[in-house]
Order: sequence, then C-alpha cells, then structure tokens
Amino acid sequence: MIELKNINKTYQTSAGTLKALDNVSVNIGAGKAFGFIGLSGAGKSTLLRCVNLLERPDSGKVLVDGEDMMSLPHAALLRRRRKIGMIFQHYNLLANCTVFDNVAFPLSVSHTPKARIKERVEQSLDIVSLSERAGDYPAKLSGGQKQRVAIARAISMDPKILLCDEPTSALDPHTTTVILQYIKRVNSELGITVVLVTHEMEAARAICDVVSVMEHGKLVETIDMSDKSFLPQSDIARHLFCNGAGI
Amino acid sequence: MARLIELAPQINKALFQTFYMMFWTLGIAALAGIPLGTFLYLIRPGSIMEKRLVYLVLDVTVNVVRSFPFLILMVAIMPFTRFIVGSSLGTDAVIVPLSISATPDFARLVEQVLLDVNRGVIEMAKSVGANTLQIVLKVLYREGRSGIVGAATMISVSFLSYSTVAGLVGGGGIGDFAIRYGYYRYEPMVMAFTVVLIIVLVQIIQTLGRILARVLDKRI
Repeated sequence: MIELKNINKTYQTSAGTLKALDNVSVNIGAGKAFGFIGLSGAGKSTLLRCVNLLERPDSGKVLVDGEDMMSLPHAALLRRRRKIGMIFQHYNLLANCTVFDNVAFPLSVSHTPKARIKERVEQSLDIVSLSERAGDYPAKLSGGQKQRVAIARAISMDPKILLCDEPTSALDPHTTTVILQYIKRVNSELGITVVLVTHEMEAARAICDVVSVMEHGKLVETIDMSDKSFLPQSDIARHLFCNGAGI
Repeated sequence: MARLIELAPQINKALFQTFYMMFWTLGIAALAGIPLGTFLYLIRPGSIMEKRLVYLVLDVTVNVVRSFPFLILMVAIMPFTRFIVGSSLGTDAVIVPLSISATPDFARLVEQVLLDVNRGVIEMAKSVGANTLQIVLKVLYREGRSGIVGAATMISVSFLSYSTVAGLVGGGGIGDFAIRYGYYRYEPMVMAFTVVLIIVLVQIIQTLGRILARVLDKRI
C-alpha cells in the first residue's frame, strides 16, 4: 500500500545541517495499522509527511498504491492527496466554521455536489458519534471532541489511508483511549490503512499491528505486535517498551 | 449656537464629502490592499509560494509609499491625479492620493492578519489537496476575516485625519471644515464643535468595526 524507499531529508538550520531522515525504507501493507514510535526529533513526523508529500524528500521514492508520488504533476498530486486522510496533534479545525463545515471542508475543496456533501458529513459525524454537534463551533468542543471532528473530516473523503500525527499527545489518558478506539474502528471497520506517529507506547500498543522504532532519523527496529515473545533489541526500543527501564 | 445653526448646511456638506471620500478610499484600498497583502503573505520567505526577490522588491515599495508624508505624496502625484480624474483639485481628486496612501497600509495590515492564521490549518488544507486559491479563500480569509475588518476600521480612523489635509487642494470634508472655520477664522466654538463631531465619528466607526469583528469571530 505505502512503500517508502531510501528516503533522505536534511534541513538547514542555524546550527548547521540536520539529517532528519537517513535512508529510511519501510513497507506498509494495505489495511494494516502501522506505528512509528520514537522520541521528539526522531524524524517520525517528517517521515509521515513524506507519504502525502507535505514534506518532499531530498531523495528516495514514495509509492502509494504502486503510484510514484514524487513524479506526479502538481494537480495530480493535489487530487491524490484527497485519498489520504490526515489528523494532527492540535486538530487543526477551522475556528470560524461549524463542525459540519469543518467535516465538509475536504469535500468542498474537491467540488462535491451539495447533497452528496450533506450525506457524507452526516455519515462521518455518525461514525465519531458527534451528529448532534454539527451546528456548533469548535470553540465549544472539548479536545477529544475536536479530534473526533478531525477524524470525521479525514474520513469524509473515503480515503484509503489515514495518517495520524501524534493524535493523542495533547489529550488526557481517558480521552486518549476513546480517540484510539475511534482510530481502531476506522482501521478495522472501514478497512482504512492507518499510519500512526506517536511517542506514547500505549497508543501504539492499543491499535498497531506493526511498530517501527525511530531514532535520529533512522529506522532502528520493526516489531510485529502480535508476536508476544519478542524482545526489543535496541536501547531506544527497550526504553520505549519498558517504560524507561534500561536507558 | 446660532453660528452653528447658521453653518449647518456647510457642516452637512462637509460630512457628506467626508463619507464620500471614505467610501471610495476604503473601497479602493480594500480592493487593492487585500490582494496585495495576500500576495505579500504568499510569497514571503518560508510561505506557500515563496518568491524571495519579488517579496523584497514589493516589501521595500510598500515601505517607501508608507513613508511619504501624506501632504508630499498628494502634491507629488498631482499629474497622475489629473490624468485619472481630469483635475488635481476637488473632492474626487483627493480620493486618488488618499487611496494610494491607504493601500499599502491596508496591505501590510492584511499581511499581518494572515500571518496570525494558524499554520496548522493551512497544513490541513494542503493535506486534503486544496490549491493555493482555495487556501486563500476558504482558509486564510475565513479564519482572518475579523482581523481584516479590524484593519479596515483602523484605516478608516486614520483616514479621517488624513482627509483634513485634503482641504489644501479643495477636497472638503469635515477636517477641512474644522481648519477653515475653526482655525483660519478664529472661531473656537466652531472648531470645538467640529472636533467633537470627529470624535463621535471615530467612536461610531470603531464601535461598528468592533461589533462586526465580534460577530465574525467564532474563535472564542
């Protein structure tokens, strides 16, 4: 479904060049829930942004459904992005738009007919159990509700992929569980491939089939979560999996 | 008091001239300043369609026009004004320098307002495949609309004091009236009354602007 091949990305900062992604290759199967875990600055968000080319890698290949994203002309890339939903740590809702209009945003961008927009928005809000809040403005919602609106917005276009950039990092533990349940549902009931970036092991454990551990722009190790007998090999993986022990 | 009643027709005329100038100046400044400010925002370094060199040139140009004292600008562009409205004197003629002076101010304020729009929302718009025009219309203007109203309010208020200078070229207006009757003819009562009138005008503009901005702002 998603194939990243030898991705490299460097940034010029005032402190010199920073290698954000160092020859990262990864293969994410269709319908899977795939996690990238690591400490802040490990490059996991940058890698996630390479999937829909919000970040363009310096070198490497991004294949989504076999399609070479980096060789797409601009207009085709914009159309392609509509099949890749994304949610963010800070929700990124339009403050001056109602819940309904926020969920409708991707649909209106792609010139969907009004009747179809209404239908899709209602279906999407129903999935995140927020149908009654359609007329409210985001300011009236709690953090968890805002993230649910963001999930509804991301799935309103019927995407094949949902990119999640630290979706629970601004939420309390209880709300985190609720949001993760909705993401899991999107994955298992709608069959949408989920890519989750997080620094919280519990989040990855709750929904991911496979987790890759990142450090300093490199993929350190990849773990099959169904394998109960695995032992983390790297220091960073041990640190993340064993709640800080061993580092 | 009797003197004020006697002058009522002139005051009325001056008020009408002020509103007439304000309508056109604000209209032109908004029509030119909003796109210019948006363009500045879009091409500034690190933004959506970064064009460093163009930004540098426009940035300096905007600063240069803003630096001109209004009176000097008005005199300097007289030939241009004559070309546009057929005369360099009168109310219509003053609208030209007023608009030219207000446009870069408006543009700068719009640029600042857009810079305050949450960058995460712009990234979200990109992630759903929005093109630049859609980002401007559906995200930047929607999220920045109360700020743009605030900018228009500020321009209107500072414009009221600029328009006083308009008297020099027969522009008329309430500020000009204050100078001619109150100052040149030493009629302190008339001057005081006009100043109070201007204060009331500023209050009205500011209050209307604030109400409109609040209605448009759903952030809190």
